[in-house]
Amino acid sequence: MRKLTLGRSILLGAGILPLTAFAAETGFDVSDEPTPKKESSASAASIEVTSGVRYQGSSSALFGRYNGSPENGFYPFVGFDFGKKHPWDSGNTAYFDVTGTNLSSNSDRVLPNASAALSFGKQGSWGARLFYDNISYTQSLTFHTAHTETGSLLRGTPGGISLTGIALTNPPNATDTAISAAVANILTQRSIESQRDTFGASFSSRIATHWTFSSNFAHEHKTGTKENSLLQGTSTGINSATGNIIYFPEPIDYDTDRFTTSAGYKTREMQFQMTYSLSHFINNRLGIVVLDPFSSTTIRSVPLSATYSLPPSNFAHLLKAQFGYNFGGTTRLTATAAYGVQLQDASFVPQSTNPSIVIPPVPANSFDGEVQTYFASVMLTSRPLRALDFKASYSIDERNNQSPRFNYAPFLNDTASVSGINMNAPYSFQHQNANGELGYRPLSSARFVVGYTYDQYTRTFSATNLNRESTYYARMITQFASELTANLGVSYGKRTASNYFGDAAWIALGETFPTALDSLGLQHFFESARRRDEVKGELTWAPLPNLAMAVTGKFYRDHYDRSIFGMTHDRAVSINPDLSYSPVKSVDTHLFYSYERLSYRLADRVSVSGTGGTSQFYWSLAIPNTVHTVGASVDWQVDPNVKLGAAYIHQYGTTAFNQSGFATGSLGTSPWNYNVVPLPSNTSNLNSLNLHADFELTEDATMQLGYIYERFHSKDYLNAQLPTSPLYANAILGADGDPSYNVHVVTAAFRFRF
Amino acid sequence: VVAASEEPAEPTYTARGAQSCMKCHDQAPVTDILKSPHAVKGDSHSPFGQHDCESCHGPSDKHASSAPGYGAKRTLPEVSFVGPNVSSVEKRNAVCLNCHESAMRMDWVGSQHQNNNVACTSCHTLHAAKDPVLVKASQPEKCFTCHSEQRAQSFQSSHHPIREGKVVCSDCHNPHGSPGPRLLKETSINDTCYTCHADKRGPFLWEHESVRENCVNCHLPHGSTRARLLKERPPYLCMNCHSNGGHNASPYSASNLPTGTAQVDARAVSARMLARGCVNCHSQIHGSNSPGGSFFTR
Repeated sequence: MRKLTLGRSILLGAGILPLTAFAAETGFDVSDEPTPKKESSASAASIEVTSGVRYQGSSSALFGRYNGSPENGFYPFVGFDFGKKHPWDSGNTAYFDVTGTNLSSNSDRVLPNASAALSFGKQGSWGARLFYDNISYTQSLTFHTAHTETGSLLRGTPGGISLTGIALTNPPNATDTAISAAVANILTQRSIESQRDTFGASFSSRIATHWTFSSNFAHEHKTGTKENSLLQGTSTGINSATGNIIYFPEPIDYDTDRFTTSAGYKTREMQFQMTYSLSHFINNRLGIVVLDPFSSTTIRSVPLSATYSLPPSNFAHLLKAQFGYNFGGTTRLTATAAYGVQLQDASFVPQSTNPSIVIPPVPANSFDGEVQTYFASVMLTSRPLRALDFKASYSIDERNNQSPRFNYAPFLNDTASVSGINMNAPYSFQHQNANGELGYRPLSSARFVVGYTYDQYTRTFSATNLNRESTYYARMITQFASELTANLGVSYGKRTASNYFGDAAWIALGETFPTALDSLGLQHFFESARRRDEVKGELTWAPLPNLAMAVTGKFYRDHYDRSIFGMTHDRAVSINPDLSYSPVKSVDTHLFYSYERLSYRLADRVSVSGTGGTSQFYWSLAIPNTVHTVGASVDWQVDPNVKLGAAYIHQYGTTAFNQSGFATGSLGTSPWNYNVVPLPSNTSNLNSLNLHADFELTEDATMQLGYIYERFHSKDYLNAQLPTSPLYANAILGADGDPSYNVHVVTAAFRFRF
Repeated sequence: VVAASEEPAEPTYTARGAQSCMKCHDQAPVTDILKSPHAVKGDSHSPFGQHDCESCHGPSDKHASSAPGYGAKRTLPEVSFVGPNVSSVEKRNAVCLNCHESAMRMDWVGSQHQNNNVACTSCHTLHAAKDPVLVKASQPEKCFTCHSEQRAQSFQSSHHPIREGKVVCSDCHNPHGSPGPRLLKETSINDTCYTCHADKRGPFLWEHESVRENCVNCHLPHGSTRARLLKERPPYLCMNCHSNGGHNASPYSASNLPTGTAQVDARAVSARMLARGCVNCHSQIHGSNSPGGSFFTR
């Protein structure tokens, strides 16, 4: 039976999916109602052009994050699809297809979100494809900064921003207020956005009866800026007269080349494929020198700028072999082996540009980093009897970091080097996995599965060098009738961490006071002992040909039994009912609801020593994130020439911070008894309505109209934070502000077929 | 894996192939397959280069030629993909794997989807000029039919551009099976992420262990209500591992917001409660290549 899905209407309902994509990729008839016309053997050639205009009523970085239209205004666009395929029975296998989607430009961007492709070849012999794709990303339209993307100060070196006398107290003193006012004068607002342009080509051919060859190459240029920040000055943060946090637009100027070539052999019994791939990432900038807007003061012996490294250029080579063999139709063996090398040898940027300190020599001018990766897996599946099947698999995945290890003088900022981490740790990991599974079918419509998985992780320079995890699971996959299916799975896993010693990780880095950082009781959740319980289920029921219902659900919880501090528990629940109903043949409706709750529990302790002795403050925090999503859509084929649709999405999310604490010790309750005031809950609220109508004016012309109203409301304590404040006068924040938006979008397009 | 007892019977194909079928099955969407790559007579590797419709539906001479008697039902084709007489999932999939058990489908047998009785035709539409699941704009709807949790996550404020049609599920996942985790195309989670985020690949001089080991230690790739697809927001995300000492152990709360009340040393505001929290200073949290970057600040 036809399972109605929420599908495209809901995607459009979000108001984001470009209308040209909709027009280019689907026929007018989205239902499965037969078209009453005879199929001819005529050549299948088609030219389809879609042209239209989109008007967006207001600007929003979040609404337009990926679609290239964050600003309000008119956005004309064009799309086309021109293809030819010879009649199926002609014997001619040549074909070609040219498509273009969202071809447009505006004053700020060229081809935002556009894509185009040309495919041609002779089916069964060879095929080639040339393509272009653009992904734009808008992070902010209201980023506050004093800097350009080259690190210089936008309005020149400011005068009068002296941190002398700064107190950063509450309430602020007069100097705090004066500095903040001076900072405000050097700030500007700008957008933070980037764009990926990818060009590429691929080719495939059948080089012999059982052999195929394929190769593809893509070059991506990514340009723009991203929001970043750094610590300047001589201290660690904002609670200091000599340290600052500066937000600045980090320049993006990347080129990435990707090349893959493979040869495959295939018969019914045996398949084999060998693949080589290369990824070469080039950052055209090694680093950025960010001028310090607070350096005009003469009282501070701080540098005028900070040198900040940017992501280093790197190579990744990978050679992979895959093998599959069928033994008589009931047993199959597959194996994969891969070897990779990741290299990075970009030149170092200077540790500091501070002329007043002696820069210690570095062991080399570049890192000469090398990571070797190994992967191997083998899997045997068999169904020796009608009612019995089994699976056994093993895999090993290793990251072997061969990079050199040296001492480096550590810098937190641009003062003299500090104590602490001074030796790099080239982390290596190995993960082995073994799995055995037995399936039994008491009936043709029911399968019961039990299995066991063993995972082993080994690491270097880590708090634990060995994790072992055993997971036991059982599943039931049943089809009670053609219209009713139910799946249920449960699992229990237990992970151990051998000789967990948190300080070991710090000692490996040369840290000299590790016990102050990771003493007994704190364990990193991703490598600590853990118990996991998990349940997953799915039920689908289609009692009528025009009615289908489904519900999926998932629950898991993790207990980190040895963790007293840090993350001690996490859990997740999701329930997702879904209903599709077609009251009459021409109307499809869909309704879904989704509930998701992720929660994390964190515990911690602060020790404080004073003249009266030592006190400890114990505190805990539970963070439940809950999201409700409701979606509804209806599509109505009014008559053969008119189709109407509507979709609505509502999503409400909330994050709570349930925090509490208490003090013990001889210092008493004041002033070390921290005043823990729970944070206000953050909420987000999305309402999205999409209306669309398609009118087939003639057999070759269709008019498409669309209207979107989308409202997003965010309540978050971060939204109110200002770029500068007397309370943090030595910091400059990006302060993007409230991402809430209220957007109306009207779209009109015509699609012509020639 | 198909049980031995379901081996196909002795083949008996119709004499005229698709011409026989189209005597009755002459309407869309059945005939839409003629616009697809499966229907290319000149390509001996395509179904229509072999036995036309019967390459997939099985030898069906009886179905095509023997008219049923009064009140009797017509003999069914060997393999039916839809309708009340639909063949078993194994039988349907065996038809597809007959040609497609190679390259990215090599690991289908034993994969999560195969284990859950998913048919190839549950996702793929053969009788169409373009299979919707192979088209960027329409692929997610097909995946979301079953993966409804991911559908809801795609609407969260921080998400990959799936709603926008620029990234699709198959950019990261191989639904046909994978030797790696979570049906990923690459053999590890991080290598999958590095496909697009090669700037995070390194190797870096200063590495952050949890980052190197697994991106999803901190990120939720399908969507999050926190910025940057984060599981939690800093400083709490960071404090899951960095606690119990130093400035990363303090009970940061509303007291430490700009609107908070005076706390230790009469300072109200903590840098960890502003903007990106810990990352304000430790902004090279994915790794640093500066000799002075051991604290991920340069």
